Amino acid sequence: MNDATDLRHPFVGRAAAAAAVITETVRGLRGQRRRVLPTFAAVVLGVGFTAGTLILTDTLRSSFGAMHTDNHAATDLAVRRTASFGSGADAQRDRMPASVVRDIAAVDGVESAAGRTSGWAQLVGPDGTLLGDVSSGVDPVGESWIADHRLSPWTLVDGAAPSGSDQVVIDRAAAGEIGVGVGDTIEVLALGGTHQMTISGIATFGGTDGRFGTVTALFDDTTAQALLGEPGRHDSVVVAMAPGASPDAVAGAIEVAVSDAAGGDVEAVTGSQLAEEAHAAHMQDWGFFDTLMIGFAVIALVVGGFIIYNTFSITVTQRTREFAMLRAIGAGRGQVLGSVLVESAVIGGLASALGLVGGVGVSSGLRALFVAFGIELPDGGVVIEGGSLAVAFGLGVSITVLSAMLPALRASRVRPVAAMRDASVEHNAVSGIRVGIGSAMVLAGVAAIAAGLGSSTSVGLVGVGGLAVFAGVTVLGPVLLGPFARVAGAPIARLSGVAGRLASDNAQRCPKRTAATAAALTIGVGLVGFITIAAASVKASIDEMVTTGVTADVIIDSNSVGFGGLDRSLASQLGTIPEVEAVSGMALSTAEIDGEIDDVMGVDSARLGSLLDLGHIDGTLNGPDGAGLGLDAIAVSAETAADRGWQVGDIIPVTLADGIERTLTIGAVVEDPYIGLPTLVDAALLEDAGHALFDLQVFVALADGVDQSTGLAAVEALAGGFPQAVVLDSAGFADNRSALIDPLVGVVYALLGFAVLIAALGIMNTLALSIMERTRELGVLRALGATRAQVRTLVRWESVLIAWFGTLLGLGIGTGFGWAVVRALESEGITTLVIPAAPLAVVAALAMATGVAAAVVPARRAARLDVLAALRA
Amino acid sequence: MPDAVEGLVADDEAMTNTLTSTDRAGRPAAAHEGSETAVPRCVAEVRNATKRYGSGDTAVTALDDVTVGFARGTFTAVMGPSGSGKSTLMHVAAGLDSLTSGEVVIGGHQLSGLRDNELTRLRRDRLGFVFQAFNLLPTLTAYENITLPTRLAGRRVETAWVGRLVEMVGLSARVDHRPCELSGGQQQRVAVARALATRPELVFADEPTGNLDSRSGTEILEFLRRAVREMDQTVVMVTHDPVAASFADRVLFLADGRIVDQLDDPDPRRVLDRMQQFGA
Repeated sequence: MNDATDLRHPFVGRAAAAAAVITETVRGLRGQRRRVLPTFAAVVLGVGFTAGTLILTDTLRSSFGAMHTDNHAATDLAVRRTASFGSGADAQRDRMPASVVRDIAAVDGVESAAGRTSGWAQLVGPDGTLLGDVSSGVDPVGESWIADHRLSPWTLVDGAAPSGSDQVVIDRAAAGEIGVGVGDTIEVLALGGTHQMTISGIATFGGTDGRFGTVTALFDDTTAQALLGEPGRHDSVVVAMAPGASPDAVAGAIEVAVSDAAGGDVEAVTGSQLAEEAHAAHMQDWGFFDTLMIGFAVIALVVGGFIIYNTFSITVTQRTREFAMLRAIGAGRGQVLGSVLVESAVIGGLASALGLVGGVGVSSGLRALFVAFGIELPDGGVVIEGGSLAVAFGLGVSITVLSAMLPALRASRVRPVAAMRDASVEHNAVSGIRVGIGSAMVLAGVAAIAAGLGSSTSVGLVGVGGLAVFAGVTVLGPVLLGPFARVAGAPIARLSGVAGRLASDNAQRCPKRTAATAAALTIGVGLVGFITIAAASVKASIDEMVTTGVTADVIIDSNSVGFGGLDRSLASQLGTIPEVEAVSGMALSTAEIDGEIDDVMGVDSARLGSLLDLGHIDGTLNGPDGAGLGLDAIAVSAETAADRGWQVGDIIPVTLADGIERTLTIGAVVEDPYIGLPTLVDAALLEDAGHALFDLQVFVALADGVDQSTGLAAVEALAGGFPQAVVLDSAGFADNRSALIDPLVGVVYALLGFAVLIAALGIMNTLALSIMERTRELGVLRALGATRAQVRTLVRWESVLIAWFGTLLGLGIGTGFGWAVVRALESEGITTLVIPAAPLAVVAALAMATGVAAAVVPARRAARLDVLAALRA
Repeated sequence: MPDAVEGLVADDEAMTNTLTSTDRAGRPAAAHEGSETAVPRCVAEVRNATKRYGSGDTAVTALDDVTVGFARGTFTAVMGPSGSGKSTLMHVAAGLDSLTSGEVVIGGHQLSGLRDNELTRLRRDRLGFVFQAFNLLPTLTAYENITLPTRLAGRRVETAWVGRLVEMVGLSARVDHRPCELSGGQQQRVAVARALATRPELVFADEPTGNLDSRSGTEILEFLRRAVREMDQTVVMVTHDPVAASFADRVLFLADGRIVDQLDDPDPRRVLDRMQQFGA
């Protein structure tokens, strides 16, 4: 028999003893609401935020899935060329001649077939509003109108189908948004520039006002080909099968029947395959947000874990005497631990369950947050996956139990007699081991960062180093707290007299507790600091790159991030006016270059040298005849050339969207290509391969003797016909491009704001528990003549000191980490390190305000203590 | 017994005078006029004090129409069995608890009308406390504890006076120590010095020797008596120890919320006799 079962009453069995302990536990919980409440709140919040992010992730995945299924539900089969390169929804395919539709319609089992073309087309509202914004998740899309209901989910609800090159049908959501109807004129941006069209009809998509994630313009078949793709060719052919036909058989028959007519292999896929492809591609795009959310869930849980652990270590320590009493009257160590286990499991279970419920609320809060930052999310019921719930619940319970067991183990090691003598036996001595371990972790972290910044830079190594430094600083926190509180406490004592002095004393009293409380804030503030530095550095780097890399006098930006942009006629028109010396558009496309798929830029290579500073160029962009790279040459970056062992004159295979493998000569190796886009070809080559080409930007050099404002005015006059064109000088262009990251940074800030909020609750918890512990002292202070205001001041300053400590450590670590990561990303184009003082000062001020806010409730409670009752406590 | 009680307090008329006529400085008019009447210069008076807890059948009367005054420069011990109301008397007299009916006047201020802040200031500026459990603030040194009330008031510490107190309680060598580095007796000496540091009108001592061995306890009682004799301080001490009570100038006996007897110039044997009489 071990110690745990060595009961003084020999006839009482193990089970009965355990039952007694459990009963005692539950009764104890009910009786000690003040003690349980902070712990409970900590678990609810931690689990709630974790569950909330997981639920939102599940919900969005499911909503997106449903959306793609809906989008393709009407399609029996779609016939398209096999991919030239790439796979899934990213695949590049050539188009098919329109005549293929007839061949397909003739295949057995096909009831009807229609050619379909889609691409970028943007509607402009009467007041100049551009509908749809790719970066918000709403694509401005154009499609061919298919009248046959078996082939298209679109239904006319007003007016007539589009007919002719000046008619368009738009979705009802878009019509409502800009207040237009049948018969109104509307501008449509697409290939060929700006088109004035008449709205012939309004359509709905499968019963909803519009298709989620797009603003849609529908044209007749010929117009769609001209505006979105290539005249006489279709992207795909949609097929309705005869009743009872087998999709596999029909698909096989089509593939065999039309390959020749289509100009190459075709594939026929079902609607559900299309939906899967689209969903997979969407999730890939959305993957970043997914990662962001999971990252946030982890942060929420770590911060929550700190609070839970801290709260338990305080409450369990406060109960050391109670445990000692139980031990003295005959409970074994195991029984005491068992009671804590049961209690924490009960609290953890109940609070985690409540957290899961709260998670649903958190998920809709997060959704609202995304929407507020302009990110469109599909509607749809909340989807709660069992797995996510299990993860959040399991983590909540296990963190709670673990957080309770560690201090309980410590408490149970105290001899009963010793424990009963001392009111509190928190070990406040800061051990040498702690200093050793903490310092070792910090040093290891710094070493990892140094290595990560060394000869072969590794962001991963820097990240690991940053984590180690954070962990080390957390371990060292209690050691650092004393000196900090003495230094920071001095001015407070001068300001608030003896109350300030007592506040700084109190903050140092339980260094471990204070440091752990502050650590929760350190995480949030550290990450905010890091993001602030990273964002500022990215912006500054973009700025730097643009100002040094762009020598053009005027830049026309489309604000496009790749889908759509300025019609290339703008650049050619600009080339004809006398104020302009040189002009080149910059169009983005994709190619398979010697087996690797990569972005390529389509430019006017002969003009580019006078518009961008490309550094040293091996070979020439001008080609042998001065006309540029032409249809046979390509320019690559020095880095790519080095990686793949290419040099000027080498011949490499390049496949473009039409699936034809061309052999191109490397005409030039460019030292400093423009922002992360290493490969250049002439735009003419991309057009030759059938890409629907738009310029993301157009660069303009003004003629000699034309001053900036005259030139700008001339360009603006021309660009006026292109509603999405933003005419800028190079500084304005830099700002315009760097502002693209603002919404993302905003979301991240908001998410981290929640982490700081949880940390504030942690401070509140610690203060509330400390006040409970120091009730008698507060009573004495009040009896001796401390006013309520002085007691409030005391609590508030203690809170501010904790917040200060967490904030300073956070800013320190965040700044260091930001510096390291920015340095590590130098090769990725983040070349300028900016440590922005003003935003960081704002962060510090807000974090400290958090300290003041966290103190409000505990301070009020402390001030309202009944003096007599407190003295008796 | 009634005679004895009456002897403690001013006659009704003089008391009314004392309580109602105060000058602008808040001092009793009578105090300025010296001992014109035969009234002792009471620094604190409790009049018809009744304190009931709860209501209806479960109501408990802790104080039952108690009237008593404490004259400057006197040392009063309050004795009585548990539940006799002696602690309640001290708490209401110190403004830590409110009365159900009756009044308490300290230094000319009637407590019943005062708001929390005024009560707090009154405690800070006019009262001193010595607790059974010492109740020093653990993070402050002995000297800081002693000067705490003064500093709470935001006033300059009277170094000469505090020095004299520190010397009296024999702690000159240990003023920079924290409470955990001091013995119980030393801690209580710090508490005595703290109670006297603001030159209060009245010092309340609640079982000040309860947690001490007899030698340390005796030292504390000596200090309290010296403060009364040599520094003209006024001390009210609740105790159940006849020896402790014998250090006082007079002993009040409480039973069932009433003052049932008083003993002037007590010695331990007589105190014990009386206590046995009241079943204490």
